[in-house]
Amino acid sequence: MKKLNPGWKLLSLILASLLLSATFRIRLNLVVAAVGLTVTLCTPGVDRRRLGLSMVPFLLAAFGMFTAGLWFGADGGTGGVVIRVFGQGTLYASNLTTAMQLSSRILAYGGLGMLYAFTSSAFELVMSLMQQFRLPPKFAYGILAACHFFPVVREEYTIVGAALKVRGIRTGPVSPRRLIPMLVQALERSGSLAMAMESRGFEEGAPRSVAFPTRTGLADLAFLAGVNGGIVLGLVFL
Amino acid sequence: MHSASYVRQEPPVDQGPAESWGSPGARPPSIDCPGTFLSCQDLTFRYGRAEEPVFSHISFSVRAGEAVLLMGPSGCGKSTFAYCLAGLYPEYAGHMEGSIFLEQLPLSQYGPALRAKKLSILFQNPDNQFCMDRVDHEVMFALENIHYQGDIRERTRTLLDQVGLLDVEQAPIHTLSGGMKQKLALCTALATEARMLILDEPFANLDPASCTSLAGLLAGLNRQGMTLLVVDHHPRWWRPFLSRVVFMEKEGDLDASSMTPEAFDQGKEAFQVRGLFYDDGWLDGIRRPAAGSVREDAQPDLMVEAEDLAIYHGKTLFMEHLSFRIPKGSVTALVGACGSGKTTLLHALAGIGRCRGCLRVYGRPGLVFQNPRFQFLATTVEDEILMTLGAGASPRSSGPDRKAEGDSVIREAAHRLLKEFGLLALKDHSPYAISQGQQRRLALLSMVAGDCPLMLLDEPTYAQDQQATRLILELLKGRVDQGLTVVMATHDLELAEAFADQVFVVDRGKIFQMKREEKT
Repeated sequence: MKKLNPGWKLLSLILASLLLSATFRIRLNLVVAAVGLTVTLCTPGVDRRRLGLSMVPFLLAAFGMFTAGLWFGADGGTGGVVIRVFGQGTLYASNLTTAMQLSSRILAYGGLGMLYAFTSSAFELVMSLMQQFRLPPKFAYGILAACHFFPVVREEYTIVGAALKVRGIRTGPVSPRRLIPMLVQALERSGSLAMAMESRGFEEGAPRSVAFPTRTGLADLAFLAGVNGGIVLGLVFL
Repeated sequence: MHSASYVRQEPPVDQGPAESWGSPGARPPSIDCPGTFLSCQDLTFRYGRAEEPVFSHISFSVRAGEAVLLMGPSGCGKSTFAYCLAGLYPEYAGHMEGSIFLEQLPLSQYGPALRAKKLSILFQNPDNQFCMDRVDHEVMFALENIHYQGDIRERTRTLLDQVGLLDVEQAPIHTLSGGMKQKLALCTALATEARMLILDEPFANLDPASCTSLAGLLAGLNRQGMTLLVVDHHPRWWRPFLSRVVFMEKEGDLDASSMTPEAFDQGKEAFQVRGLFYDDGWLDGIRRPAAGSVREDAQPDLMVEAEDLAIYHGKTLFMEHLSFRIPKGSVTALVGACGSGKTTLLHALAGIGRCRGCLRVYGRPGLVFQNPRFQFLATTVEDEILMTLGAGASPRSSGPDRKAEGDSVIREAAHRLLKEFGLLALKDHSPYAISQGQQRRLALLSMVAGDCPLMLLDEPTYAQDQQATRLILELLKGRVDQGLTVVMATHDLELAEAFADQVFVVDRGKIFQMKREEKT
């Protein structure tokens, strides 16, 4: 999975998500989620603990959608076969179906998302978007620079909090007093960075060499056709 | 407590003549001279159209192969001038009149890629000049920009080897020390094949070892023909290979008052009248405050007491088994390499760092950060001080008259302090819009106004000219004589020796007290 072109892989999975969003196949959703997570788990070098933690928001969202569908079904609870759940009230099978459809779809998106996030490099994705999908280099390198500043910004956030504490000022995590110095710093940094890029010869539209080539091969096309063909088949047979 | 000696770093030895263009007092070549690499004529710059110009009608030229040091007081516009010469201003800020020529052609005719092949700039803050994640990627990015046609990976390795960074080829940039980051910036400038480097205080906040290493590298490049224009407050590292010193003025021909190495020895006065560093002789007048001498056998009144202290940087144990005492009314200096833990120790003393063990601080600490921009609260310099003074004002004054009277007293006190710190003329400016040196003085003033008995200072003299440095030291001395305790982290060992009662060397998670007799 890690050898696939990240740009083409992203395109394949976006198409797959669009296909899933147009359907209500519970089995298909569950199969997609299971296959996505299994392939991610089997990919060498994947941090399983992080994978588990990353799935938590999807599981919570799926649970939320499940209960919402269950208690507030679209048909107003008047159709289908009457069943009882937890002995707490009268529910309708049609609502259970809605709940499963909504929650399984969230899980399917989660599976596809994890498959991408844990088997792709952000750096290679940006390079691929620039080389294969005509993303302007100005945006590409701007995105990369912003990503690389995350650790610095996190450290600065702590320092600003500490600086305010020393002056006897207690602030909340999103207090303007805490955010304004960071905003000023961010503005200065963006200016400095743009100047640094220019002084290193970066020029929009000028011919450039390619130091980080990302190539497209048959495997990328096969992945696109395989994933989306599989989902189409699932729509027919599941 | 252990004791240790701290290795004094010397400037690089000149191993060959940098091209020197003339005798003392001789004028450098003009724009028309074929040897002129970069020059400007009648240059005027202002940040806002209606604002006072930062400088006006400036003329200046640099000949190919020269190493020129541009000096001037804090906030006089040296960096702005450097950015103009590098072609970054007015594109990124301000309004400029006049003309700049690069190899006889107007600078505006060069696009960024072509310009980078001629000249490049290294910024003061090494953290804000990289856009890639890894060391090698950053160099490759520069090679991509100039459309390098050879083997990019091979060229990257050669360049990294040249600046001594091959060992950290694949390291994330944020893990490098300040000195290594400046070397990487230099490496990327070399990657663009630049023939001239403009360096804006490249040694700001670097430890002496990093300065020596970087200065040696630059001296070598200059010998190979690289033209250098350096903006700095101290000639210390540059003297061995300097072609001339140029003093930044508000207007006029900068070359007219430039000073060649031959004239340097007799030129002390020119530095002194401008309040600039000439050599380490400026420390002769600096005396330790009278109180607070530390004697092993005495039991002084303590401000800080630490016993078997362990300090964390984030969640990582960074320093341990620290035991030391800081008497009230004394000055303690922390010296050590970048990343050795000086700042972490200051944060622990300020109560904002995580630590374990016995640490007793007998008084409210004030802390001036390395980057003072993080600690400003107001939108004007005056409000910044009023806020601190207001917070300490008596809440009992009530009623409009009493309040107005109280406000007027506080404002008067604020103006007195601003005048004392040389910032009164800037009272209506934004704290973020003044120079780095002025910001540092303002941050110090904010803390002094807060009446903290313990003052923790992280590089208090960084980005200051000699006059401002002396001013800061005199202000501190006056307050130490009245009982203030100062702990300052600094890279300037000479300053630490001259001003501090005790000097602690911070090294690899430990601190050692430097004995006076060992310091020579």
